[in-house]
Amino acid sequence: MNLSTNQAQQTYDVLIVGSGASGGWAAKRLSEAGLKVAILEAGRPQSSANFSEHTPKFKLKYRNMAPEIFSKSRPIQSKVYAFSEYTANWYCDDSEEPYTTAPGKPYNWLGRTRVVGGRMNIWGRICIRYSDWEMEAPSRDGYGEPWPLEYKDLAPYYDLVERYIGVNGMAEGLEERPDGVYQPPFPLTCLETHFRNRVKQKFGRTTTLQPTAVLTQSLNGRGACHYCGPCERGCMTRSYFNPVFTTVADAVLSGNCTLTTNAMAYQVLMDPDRNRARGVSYIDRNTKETREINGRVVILCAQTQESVRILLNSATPQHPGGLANASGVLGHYFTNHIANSGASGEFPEFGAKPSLGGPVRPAGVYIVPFRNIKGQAPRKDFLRTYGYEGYASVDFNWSAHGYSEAYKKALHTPQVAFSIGGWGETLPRFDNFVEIDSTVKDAYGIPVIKIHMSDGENEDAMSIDVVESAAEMLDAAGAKNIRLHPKPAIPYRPNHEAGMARMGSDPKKSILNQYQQAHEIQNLFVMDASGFPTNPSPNPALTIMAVCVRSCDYLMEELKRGEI
Amino acid sequence: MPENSDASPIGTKSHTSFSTEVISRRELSTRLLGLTAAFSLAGSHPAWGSLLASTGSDVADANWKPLFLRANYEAVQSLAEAIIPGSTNALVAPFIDLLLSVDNPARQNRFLEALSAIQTESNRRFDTPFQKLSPTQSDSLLAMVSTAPEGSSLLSSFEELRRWIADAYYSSEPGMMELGWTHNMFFRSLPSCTLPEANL
Repeated sequence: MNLSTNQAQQTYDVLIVGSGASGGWAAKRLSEAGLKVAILEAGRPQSSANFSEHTPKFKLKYRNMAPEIFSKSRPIQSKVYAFSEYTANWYCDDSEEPYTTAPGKPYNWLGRTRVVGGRMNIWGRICIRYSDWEMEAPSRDGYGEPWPLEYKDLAPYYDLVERYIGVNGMAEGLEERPDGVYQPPFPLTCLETHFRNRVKQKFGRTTTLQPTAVLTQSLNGRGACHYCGPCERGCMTRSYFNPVFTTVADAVLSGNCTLTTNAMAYQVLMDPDRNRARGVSYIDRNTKETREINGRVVILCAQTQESVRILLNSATPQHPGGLANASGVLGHYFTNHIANSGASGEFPEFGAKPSLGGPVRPAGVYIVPFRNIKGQAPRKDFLRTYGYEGYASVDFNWSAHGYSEAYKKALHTPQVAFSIGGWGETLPRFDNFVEIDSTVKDAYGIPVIKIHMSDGENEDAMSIDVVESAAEMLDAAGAKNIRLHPKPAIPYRPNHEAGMARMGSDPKKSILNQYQQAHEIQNLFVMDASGFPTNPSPNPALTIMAVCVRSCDYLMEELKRGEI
Repeated sequence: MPENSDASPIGTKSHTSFSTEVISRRELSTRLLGLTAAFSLAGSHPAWGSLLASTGSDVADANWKPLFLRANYEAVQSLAEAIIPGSTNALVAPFIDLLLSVDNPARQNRFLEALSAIQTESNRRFDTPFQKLSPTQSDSLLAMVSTAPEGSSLLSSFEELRRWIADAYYSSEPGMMELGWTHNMFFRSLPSCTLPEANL
């Protein structure tokens, strides 16, 4: 959908850039409250016609077995776990939308989706709350800035978001991992139950089901999961949370929201006399024409690097280092998660007949953080903590020997494995940052970012502990043939980027206040993970949504009071 | 897409000590329609289209004109059938040819070198290429190469070819069905553990 001339001349109450986790929620919350909202989405329209979760491999031309066909168009995007021949065109063309990296610091910027709903089309659906202990970590260890809000500020918004998106999980009653508002959980398998019990007995550590935004009970016109498996290819029963058929759909249905697709946001447009944002310029992906749209408030929800890129590209004489960057920290303190080390082991005694014909549970298990938690002496080798995500699998024996009928028979010997990998916090460091690379523009003429990102000693030490502790737990559970998976030379970077426009109480050290409002520009907000001062170990999407809704409520109050 | 009849639930599927019910198309549709009553798109729920539509078809068909293998095509066809019976019916050779035609030179060469190693051994032992061997001869050759010493180039060549053939076969409809795939994608529940320790 493109704006008509009239729409282009209209001034909306709120412009929202992006329609993913936060953009969808901002649009829903604000439009349902009666504000006139416009969403600019860089990607194409998305609908269930594009979903392919029930399409078997043999219906695909290359059966998802020809990675080379994406070597030119999507050499980076094809590295993300959810990428496949089924959904390749949900991702940006890397050749059209490049970025650069610092010498010796390779960085795979993954999950750059270009469809309505953004990354939430392909997300892992894991919804874990942050705890006060994690949010206060900088105050304890002196590294980075603490969050300018507390768990009690977020708790009601976690509740609200979880009730709407539908999260199933097991309440465990742990202070270090607050429980959510859960639908009945998926059941654990016998192997997972065995592992959970042994690890609890031996170490006191908690293995639980990953709290997952997949319905086990119908909710608001969405059906319960039917266990087909590949949520990342869509869901005809709308059982997993995706803004396309939830928040964005609600916003549009309110009658107060205009969704403009194929709109690559370029700059926040400023009124220099009033130091206020007045709109957004964007490039129409189809025509490559530059257009402008006006709004009383601008909210960036474009994804961490994308939002920061817009702020940096929006520099003006009044804001020479990028918008709202008097502190000089815009683009700095880039964080992600460590997510590439762990261990696996075999449990042949839990053998079950492998089959492609059974139900698939769209969630794994989660081991609650047990390092550097409250009541423990802090580790000497690293700060902060990590949790594990893992899964038990029963697979065919693809290493079977022989040929003909003997091979076919051997293939059915069950291979039972349990794999766990650590997901840990990376420290926010000033020297992990992005900047505009003025020598390179994308296919739409927008200057790209240059990413400077590397792990430090803390991440390396944490990764070592992740591997050792994983092996220790597998051993305690009786695993055979334990294999260690140390951190690779080029780390896998999940879609968990955060920071670079951080929230904080001190405008000299931060870009945004606790409501994700720019300290320097009253009507400019950044409601994705850019504002996170730290990147605690849980997957960030749930907190992105909860913080966003809280900020939207603040915005509405401020608008009512005439403060914006 | 599900090809189950419209009959009521088609029964239970044995899964070791677990049991899992599947949902019939009719039941699913009924449930979805009920669920969508309050939804703005009721009456045009995508579930209908998804349930009723059929998807695309294989490109690699029986009249395949080789794109990459050309002179080696027959050999691959014979090897595939000998290594995994049913490969001809599953159109394994055309599909491998299709994959190789878009692959990178390193992987293409690795395949051709593996094929060449088997052909060399076939010529050495029987003075004839693999595709011309009698069933007894081909069985004898495969028995030898599949048990060649660990680390030998013959064994690694055999395993390279078998990997391609297995990948192609078990991603075909007949191959997937051998692995238990049934067209059904709708299940009412997940298996749960019935061991006593599940209740600890």
